[in-house]
Amino acid sequence: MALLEVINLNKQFGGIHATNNVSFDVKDHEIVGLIGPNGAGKSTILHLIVGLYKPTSGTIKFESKEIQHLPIHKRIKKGISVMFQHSRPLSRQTVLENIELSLLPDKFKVFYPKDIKSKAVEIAKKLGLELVLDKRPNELPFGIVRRMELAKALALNPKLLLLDEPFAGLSHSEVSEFSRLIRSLKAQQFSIIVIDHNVKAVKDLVDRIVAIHAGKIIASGTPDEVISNPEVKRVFLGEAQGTAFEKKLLDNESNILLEANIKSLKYNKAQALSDVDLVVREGQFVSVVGLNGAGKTSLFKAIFSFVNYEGDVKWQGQSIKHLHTAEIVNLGIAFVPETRELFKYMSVEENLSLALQKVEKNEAKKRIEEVYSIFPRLSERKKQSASTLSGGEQQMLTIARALVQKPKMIVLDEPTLGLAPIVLDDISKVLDYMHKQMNLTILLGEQNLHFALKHSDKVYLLEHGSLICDCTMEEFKERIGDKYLA
Amino acid sequence: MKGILKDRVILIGLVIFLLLSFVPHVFSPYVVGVFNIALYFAVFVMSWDLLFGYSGEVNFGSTFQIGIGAYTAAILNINTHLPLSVCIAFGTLAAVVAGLFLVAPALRLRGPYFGLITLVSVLLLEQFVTIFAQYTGGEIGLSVPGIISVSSKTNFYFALLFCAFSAIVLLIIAKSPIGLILQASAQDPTEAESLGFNITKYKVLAFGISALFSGLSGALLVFYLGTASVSLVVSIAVVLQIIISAIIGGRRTIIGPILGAFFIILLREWLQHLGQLNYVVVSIMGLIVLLFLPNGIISLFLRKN
Repeated sequence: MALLEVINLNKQFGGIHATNNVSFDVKDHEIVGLIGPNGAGKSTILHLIVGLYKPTSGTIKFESKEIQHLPIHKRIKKGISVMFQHSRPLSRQTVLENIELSLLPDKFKVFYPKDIKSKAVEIAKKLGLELVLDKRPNELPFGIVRRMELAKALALNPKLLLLDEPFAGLSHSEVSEFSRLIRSLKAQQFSIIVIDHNVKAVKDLVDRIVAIHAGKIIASGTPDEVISNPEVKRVFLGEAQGTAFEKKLLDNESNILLEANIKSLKYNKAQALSDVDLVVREGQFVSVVGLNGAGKTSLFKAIFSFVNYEGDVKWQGQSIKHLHTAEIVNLGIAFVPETRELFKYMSVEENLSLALQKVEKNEAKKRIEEVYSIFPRLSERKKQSASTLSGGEQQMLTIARALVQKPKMIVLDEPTLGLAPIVLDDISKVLDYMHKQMNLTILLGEQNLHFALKHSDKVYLLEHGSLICDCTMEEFKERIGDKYLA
Repeated sequence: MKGILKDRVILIGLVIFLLLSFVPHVFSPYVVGVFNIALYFAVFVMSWDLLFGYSGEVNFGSTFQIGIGAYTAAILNINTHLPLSVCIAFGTLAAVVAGLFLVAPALRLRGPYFGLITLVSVLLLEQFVTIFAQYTGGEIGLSVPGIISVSSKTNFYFALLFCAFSAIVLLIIAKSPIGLILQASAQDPTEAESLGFNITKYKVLAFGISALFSGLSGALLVFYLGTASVSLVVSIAVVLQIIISAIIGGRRTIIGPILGAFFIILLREWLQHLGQLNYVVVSIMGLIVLLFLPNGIISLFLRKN
């Protein structure tokens, strides 16, 4: 008898199918890995199970009863509990008090139950938190805070535990320690769903894997079965087919446009980048590759001054560390963010003209016509609001919005995110056109290695916030390529 | 008992209570009167702090509850022969019921809706009082025959005990599991709900308790002063004073707001001779306090952590 049954689950956001007819189940005492690249729709499924979203259609059954219409707290009371990737624990309270919160009944009580402290201590001990009971979460390293979050989820005494990217932001040693901790829970009497973007991280942990891509289940079975599935390989490592684009001759003498030396970048306690040096020369197509969470987005955020960091970033020899984001963009660096950040209730054309507020009217019109000639699909949809576009069209609009600014360099963060393979080809062609015909310098952040390799003159490989390799395409293929792809 | 005394905030509350109990022996009846108003005002501020400091909801309309409590009690006192205590009880009840029916539904929504609806509720009440001037006295206000006491000492000690009682009840709630769940829902509503709490239920409770003490204090203030008027218990200016007092005193402490209330009321009285400039100077003083003590006056007496 399955504990959780997900049947034909659909969730649409505007024109995007975040989950598309997803069905799977979780049996008693089973650990299931829900795996997919960033943007595949894993989080949407998690949020649908927990109750943050209501499904567009489909059924979720827990212990054979439908729960998809219930509010969050009622689902929790039925025995589902969740550890979110991003949570904000009580910051003025201690670890112990945070765990006690979890143990409170959902009733108006003026006094704490007598045994709550001993129960909380017991759970804390199980997770090795006994030495930090009186500390506040913001005094503790990130890995310990994650354990406290796990303690809170366990305190609810769940039948089904959902773990959302439990390893994100943890260091190598913390990952193995945390993984061991979760495995030790396996002996106890409940089921677990682990959500992760990385097959490798969970394959020793789970009994079964459900692999998702672009909102659909592409494979499910034992870890070995799923890993050897050709479709999964293709999705995780990118399209191997299709020949690489012809490369321009790499000119190592051309001017340096961008030079970044990031000594350290931290989010609270979590180290996102350390000692990352990157150089982009005029006319180059440079890729920063690495798995989700490796630090690609953080690097771009640092370049655009969205975050504070130790180190320096130079644009044509001048430090831009102390400039504001808007000033940096005005220097001629356009950003195509991972999250797209379109104005979703504005039309395609309004989104484009918004980027041209400082440009004279006729010139603005001309530039918009220019990008329409590159993206004829956008021209057809120019009166439609951005939220009704498909994922691929939204991505094109985001790129078009960067292009109308006539930048010297364009920085793209994961343009392939959550897109179907056919759309990838279109994006590929556009990038090639921008690079060769428009002579733009391009800095691309990508977890789809094949997609990045097709275009790049130079590749930087990031892993856990550090540079593993900084090399030309040929060197990359020789040194890392095969090992990494295998 | 020892545990309770270890809590700095409670200790500060006790010290304030002891110091205040000497006020009628030291100051003239006029000054005692000012302290008296400050005591009722302090209850407004503490009630506001429960809702904002713990559940994170900004109530721009606490004078909706205060005003309903005050005017209901006043109108009953003028038009019926009910005893004073019954008028006050009905006033309080009206404040809670009106609040729960008109304002609390907005607590189910996330985002700025609650704040906006509370703001509108005050503006509506203000209009309502003006339109039904034959019952409410309109802009001039109402004079009520009922009075708590003619003795300034009795009045003062009554207000002091009422303020202390309110502080104790609000503190118990703030420090109870309810307070903890409210704080969790302010910090991260999704996570609080994912720990199995129906957070709307707790917010409505906090709002109800806040409305109860606001309405009760509003009704009592009317029978202390003998008048009810828009500028005293309804106007947006009063709301702003309440909010400023809570923040200056030290939000999320319940006791801090008492300090803030006294700071604002006493300072305004002291600067009365400045006329219109009074407000400006009080505001600047408030800003200065905030600049140096972002966690309010009470943080002066709290351990750093």
